[in-house]
Amino acid sequence: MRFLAAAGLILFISCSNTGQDPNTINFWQFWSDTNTKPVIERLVREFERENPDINVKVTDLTWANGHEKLVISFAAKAPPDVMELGSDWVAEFAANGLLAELESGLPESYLYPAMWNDTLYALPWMLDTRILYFNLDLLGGVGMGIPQTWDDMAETCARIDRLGEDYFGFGCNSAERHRLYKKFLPFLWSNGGQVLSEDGSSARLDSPEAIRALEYYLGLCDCGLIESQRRLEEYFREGRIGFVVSGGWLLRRLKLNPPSFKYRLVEFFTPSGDTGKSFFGGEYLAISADSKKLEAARKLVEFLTRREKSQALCDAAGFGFPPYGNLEGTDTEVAAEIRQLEHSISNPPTPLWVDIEQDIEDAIEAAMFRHGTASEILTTANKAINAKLESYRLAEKD
Amino acid sequence: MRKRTKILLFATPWIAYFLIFWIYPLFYSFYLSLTDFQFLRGDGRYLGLGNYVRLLRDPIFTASLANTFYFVFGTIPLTTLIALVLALLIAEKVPGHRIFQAAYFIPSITAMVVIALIFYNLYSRGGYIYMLFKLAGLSPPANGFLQSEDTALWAIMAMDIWVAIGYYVLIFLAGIKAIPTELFEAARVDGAGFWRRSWNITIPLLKSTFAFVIVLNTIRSFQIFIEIFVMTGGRPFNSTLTTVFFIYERGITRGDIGYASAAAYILFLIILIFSLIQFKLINVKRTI
Repeated sequence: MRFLAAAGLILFISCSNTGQDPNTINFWQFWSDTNTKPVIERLVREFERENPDINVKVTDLTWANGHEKLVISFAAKAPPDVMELGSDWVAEFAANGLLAELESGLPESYLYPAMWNDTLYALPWMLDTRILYFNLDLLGGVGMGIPQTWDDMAETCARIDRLGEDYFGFGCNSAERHRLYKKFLPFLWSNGGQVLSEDGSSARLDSPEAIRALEYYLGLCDCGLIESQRRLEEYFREGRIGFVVSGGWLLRRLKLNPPSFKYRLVEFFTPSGDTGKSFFGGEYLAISADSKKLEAARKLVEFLTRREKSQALCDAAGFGFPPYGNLEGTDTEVAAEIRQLEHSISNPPTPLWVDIEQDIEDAIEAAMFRHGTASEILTTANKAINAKLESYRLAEKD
Repeated sequence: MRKRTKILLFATPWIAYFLIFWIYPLFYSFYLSLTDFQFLRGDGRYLGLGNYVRLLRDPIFTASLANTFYFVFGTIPLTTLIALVLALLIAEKVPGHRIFQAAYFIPSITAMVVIALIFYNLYSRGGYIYMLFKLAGLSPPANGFLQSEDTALWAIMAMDIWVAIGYYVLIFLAGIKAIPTELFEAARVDGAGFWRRSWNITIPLLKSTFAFVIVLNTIRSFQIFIEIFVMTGGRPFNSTLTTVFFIYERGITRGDIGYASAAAYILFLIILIFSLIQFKLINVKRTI
């Protein structure tokens, strides 16, 4: 009898509800470094003080596998109530009916990546872009100023590369997930190319503009160093790379530990030197459609996306901008970032982006390792993406 | 009867765990492998063997299989041989053998993520291994070992051999300890030296340990993942893409879980066949 009682007790304990109280909402986010995590915790405490009947449980994700964890949480029917998403991911979750609809009066261009079928599924939390960082000392050392055209830039790259084996013209990102395509697309867009048609229904990677952009990018890689983003930025800060493509976090590091050389942030430009286009990205906040605490979740998203809260996060991160327009730069470098952000675009939202992104990165990598010409490789990638888009359309009809 | 009930009751939690977390997923993933189930969509159509046919025609999957075979056949002989020699030397109680024993084992208990990050830097342009090659007058790849299709997989294999040796040294040592000491003493009396004793006594009597080490190492090598995830992500150009990473990438990243399940079953069959062949070749029957 005692054994039965013991077994019953074990069963009771293992099956008892150890879940959280009904007032707790789960918030999954990506800010876990020593600068930003305290700010996230402070913002959450402020929110809880403002809403004493709501508790927030914060879970940290990493960019290395955060997307996968979110996918698995939805597959396991246990998603967080509120989640931070990369701007390219919203359509993927929204198209599968997994996100709650939202409303916002923020500028339309900031909401565009979070739209699917004319409905808004996420709110921008902070915005960022990619920009060119030039080492002015290295440029001066090879008798060049800041390049005005693509030909200038290629010449600068080649001259720096000839300085010796410890110097590289360009920082060419190796095929790191979620990163490589953001380095290449500004060149593609600045050359008049597109990844997808305006309505997102077909690929445009086989256009002459896209092919020329890839050929040009490969030329830069030939006189550059192929490495991970982290190491490329280390090399740049050591003064061994002429120019790299990076985000605002590099500017923060350069300000915190000023290098021994002068540097300048320059917006992307077209081959002839006109204003180019860069990658528009950012962090978005979304709510799970199946959340049992929709109202509380909406309150948290509304709170976190307030201008001052978003600004607090940007200040802690040392980069990024609140999604409220009328941005003002505190110095010439931040002003350059703002100008670049104003000339940044994102791809038409598509649920297949994670797949398409990988196809683009595979194609760039194949070209970097000379597994075909830029034209052959992009034509193949274009066909593959079109096949996926077609297959998705057929599945939707079914 | 009462005793059996007690046994069953005590075993119930484990049996429940085994059924829920091992047996059910095993069968459910086989069912998924016959469908085009997508994680986020949450449903899938029955495809029969469609995923298996698609996999065999997928050049990336076949490349991942080839890389995995390279990895398995490139690391196992060296790992086993080096571990055996080191175990024989340690068993001889050479001066400082306990320090060696601990030192060899340290990589095995260090988190693979940490080791992989350290080796990522060592293999990079300007890293210590890269610079050693330069000092030796060799020409390392311009962008470092992990950024070259020709060297990335070999670099990871070399690291893996270094990591795995310590664990197998311990297993071989345990096998050597189990050999009756009288045999060694008699051989010594007859004038047999270290190599003669090792060749004629130790190695033949380590047959079952060999089988265990090789099967264990084969299964482990076929499932190589963390090193790839941390160091290369299967790149450059799929030259380090292993089958388990392929499964992860297709199933978890892209959410094509039906396709990934089929790949997992093909890998399962390969490991099963290899394990059976290895047991047969080494002729081990219930000895381990």
